[in-house]
Amino acid sequence: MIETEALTKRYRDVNAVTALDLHVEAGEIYGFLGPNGAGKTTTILMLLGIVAPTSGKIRMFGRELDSDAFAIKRKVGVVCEIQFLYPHMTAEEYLGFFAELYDVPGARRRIFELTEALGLQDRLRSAVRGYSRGMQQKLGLARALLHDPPLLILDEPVSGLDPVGTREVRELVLAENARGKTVFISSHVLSEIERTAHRVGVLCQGSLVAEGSLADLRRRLEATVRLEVELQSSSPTAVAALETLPFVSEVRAEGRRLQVRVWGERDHRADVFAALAGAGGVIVGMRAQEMSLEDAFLALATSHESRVAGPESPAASSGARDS
Amino acid sequence: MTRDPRLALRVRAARAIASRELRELLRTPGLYVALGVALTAASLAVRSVLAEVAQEGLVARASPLYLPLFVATVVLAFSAATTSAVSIARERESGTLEVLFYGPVDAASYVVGKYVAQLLAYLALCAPLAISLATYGWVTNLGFSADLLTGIALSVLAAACTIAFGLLLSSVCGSIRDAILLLVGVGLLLLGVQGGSWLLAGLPQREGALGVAAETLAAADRVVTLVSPYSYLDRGLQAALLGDAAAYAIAFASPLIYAALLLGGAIWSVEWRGVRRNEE
Repeated sequence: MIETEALTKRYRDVNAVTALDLHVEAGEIYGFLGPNGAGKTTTILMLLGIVAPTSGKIRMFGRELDSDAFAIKRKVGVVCEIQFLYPHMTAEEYLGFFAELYDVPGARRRIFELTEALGLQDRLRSAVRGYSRGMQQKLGLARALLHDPPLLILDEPVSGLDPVGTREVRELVLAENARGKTVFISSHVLSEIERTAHRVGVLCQGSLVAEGSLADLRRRLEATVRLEVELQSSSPTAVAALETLPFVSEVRAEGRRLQVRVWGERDHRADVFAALAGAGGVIVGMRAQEMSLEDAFLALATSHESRVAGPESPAASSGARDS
Repeated sequence: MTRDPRLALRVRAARAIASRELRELLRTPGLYVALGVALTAASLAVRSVLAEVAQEGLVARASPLYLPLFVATVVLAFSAATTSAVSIARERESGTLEVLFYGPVDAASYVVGKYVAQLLAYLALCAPLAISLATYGWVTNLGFSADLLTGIALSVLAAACTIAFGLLLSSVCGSIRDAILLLVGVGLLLLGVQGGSWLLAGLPQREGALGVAAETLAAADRVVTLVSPYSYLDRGLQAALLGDAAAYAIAFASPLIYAALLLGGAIWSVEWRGVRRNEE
């Protein structure tokens, strides 16, 4: 449904997106995760033809986006974080305009159905400027669904919504997916993606650092254990010794306290103990802590950032390393 | 006959945009304020013609209502240029332009849609303008000839140019403020060229740097006159009066070519400048 090949966007000296290879299957909900500024919105804008890629290819519905952007975009429904509505228009006028633009057959009936489903019926003839954030978001969703597109692209669709609004949007996304729509949903909130997406791609500083089914990703991320080690005194040689261990993904030193992230399900405390002792470190305490999925996601992001920042950065000097 | 599906999609998009834009233009007061100002200015022009008649004792003009028509056209076409100049910039500033481009809209369909709406709004004003001129002619006994209808048709061509010019200015701007400043700046520049040229031409001695300045401004003035939509209107009205078929054909064709070039520039500019709003 969506394929990108080495998709890259460069703004002057900054790489917003670097050699991105995405593959979104028809009928799936693909969660596009990443911290703010990771390049998610830039990627979406490239998919929509709003921003031109510096290099790389985009294929949607099996066709190059450049070859027939007009026809391809007719098959896509888009909801962004901010809706940018025409404030003086009523919801009926707004949806009527987009129905005309997309040539929606039976537009009046379709508008009625959608606004009823989204709970906007009562305010159909009110000017949009009086709408709450949640109502504006719903109107944006109605606009995106109006022409019944096979692909929905949602950029931070629940940002700023209250829990009820968040749940309504989530239920709608799931319902549309059940009807056969492919959904590409971007968010920096892992818990939101976790509840809807079949597969997830994690974007950090413009690069895809992890991709797979949610179960795979969970296994990989939750296999991380954080060890908190307290030494008698700070010891750079001990930190260096830990960094050489193959199962250690990251070491952060704060004085005589170390935070060590280790991969795998085996208990590596004895190995860590031995490595530290061998490097002359005197351990006064050690505690193992399993990471939540949220923590692990953050660790993945941080680890990538540290790696990209290079050996001169403070984060990197603490020995961050991604598997 | 098979139609190009891409062209059909573009036409549909342009039609939807034109329809929405026209509805908005017709329900905002600006259009009617412009009509009121134009008719008032036209009535003042009629008064001046009548004063001339009273002074001379005869009607010294082939078509006495051409002046009121010209004055009204200047006001209406300038108003259309102003509305056009803010229209794309306003949508870019508010973010709605980007949302439109998420769907089946491209620069050509968008600019053409906007252009058609502005032109239709102008055409809607031509009816009250024609009725008013006919009323002035009947009340004052100045008459209302068929030539005036030709003049009104030529005024549509002048408006076609000013609207395209406004859209071109708007296509490069990211906010309403920028668009208005640009329009005012260009307007002042053109007035400066014309005023400066006129002033320097009136000086008794034009030597050295002053002479060079006078020559330069005179050349610039000729260019301004050449590209000014109002000069096309004036030339068209003269051609209609003289019955000069060649000048008449040029008066009709040249504004159309000029408007097409400006529109092409606006389309290219929307593509080049992009549709994203300025990040704060």
